[in-house]
Amino acid sequence: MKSKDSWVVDHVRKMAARGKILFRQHALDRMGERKIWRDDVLKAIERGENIHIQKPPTETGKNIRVFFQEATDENIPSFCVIVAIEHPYAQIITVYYFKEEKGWSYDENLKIWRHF
Amino acid sequence: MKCVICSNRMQEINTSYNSRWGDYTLTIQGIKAYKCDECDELVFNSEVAKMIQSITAGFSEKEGDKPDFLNVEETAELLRVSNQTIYNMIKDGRLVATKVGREWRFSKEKVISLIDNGNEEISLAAQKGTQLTQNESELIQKHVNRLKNKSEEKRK
Repeated sequence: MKSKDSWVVDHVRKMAARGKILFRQHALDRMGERKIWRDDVLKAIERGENIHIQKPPTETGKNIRVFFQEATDENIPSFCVIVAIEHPYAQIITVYYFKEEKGWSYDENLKIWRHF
Repeated sequence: MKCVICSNRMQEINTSYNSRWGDYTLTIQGIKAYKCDECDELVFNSEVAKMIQSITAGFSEKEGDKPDFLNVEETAELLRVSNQTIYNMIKDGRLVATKVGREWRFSKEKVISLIDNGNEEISLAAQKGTQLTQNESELIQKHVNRLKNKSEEKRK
């Protein structure tokens, strides 16, 4: 059964499929530092698990934010992509490694990162 | 379009961007981006982001591979001596060099090994009056160690 917020995730994925994705400077800086490729970030949005949705207002904005984990079948997903919706685009706000951030734990059974 | 952080308007501009790939940084000019009037944050479309990453990653790899062969200036810089010292060292056989056309070329590996071999060659150079002081020897050794660490890191 789909959650009531799944439309948001679908919406972001549709925008990504249509090329309506923008990269904020902060996100591109962090990706460069960590050597994370754009294609892997887009793959995370298109195929990675949605792990968190942050509803507005947040500390740093008024847009809904959707969190995706890296799309990988073999390893534990290593990075998180945060996307904010600003119609008609979705803007990637930041990309970080889970190990660098507090507040995440990995659920081995469900194979997803959980925010606590 | 609005900025998702401060909700102000963003406008399309041509700008320069200091791109990074690991420790490597590169300034790219003439990049199309949206800029927030208020917080100055830039936003790039997906294709521009791809182009920025490809250029920066490409250059960072090229930089790492580059100096397998050095010219006189680069060798002098590496050894922290003058160009004339390098010519002297070629002349008396302390430095192995190959002439390509009118230019001398040096194997970076051999120049490094020259210093690596217990500093014997450096001591010899100092004895022969090539003005290498203890301080200069230490500087060269420091520089070579840095280069070695860099290439080891790259290999990893």
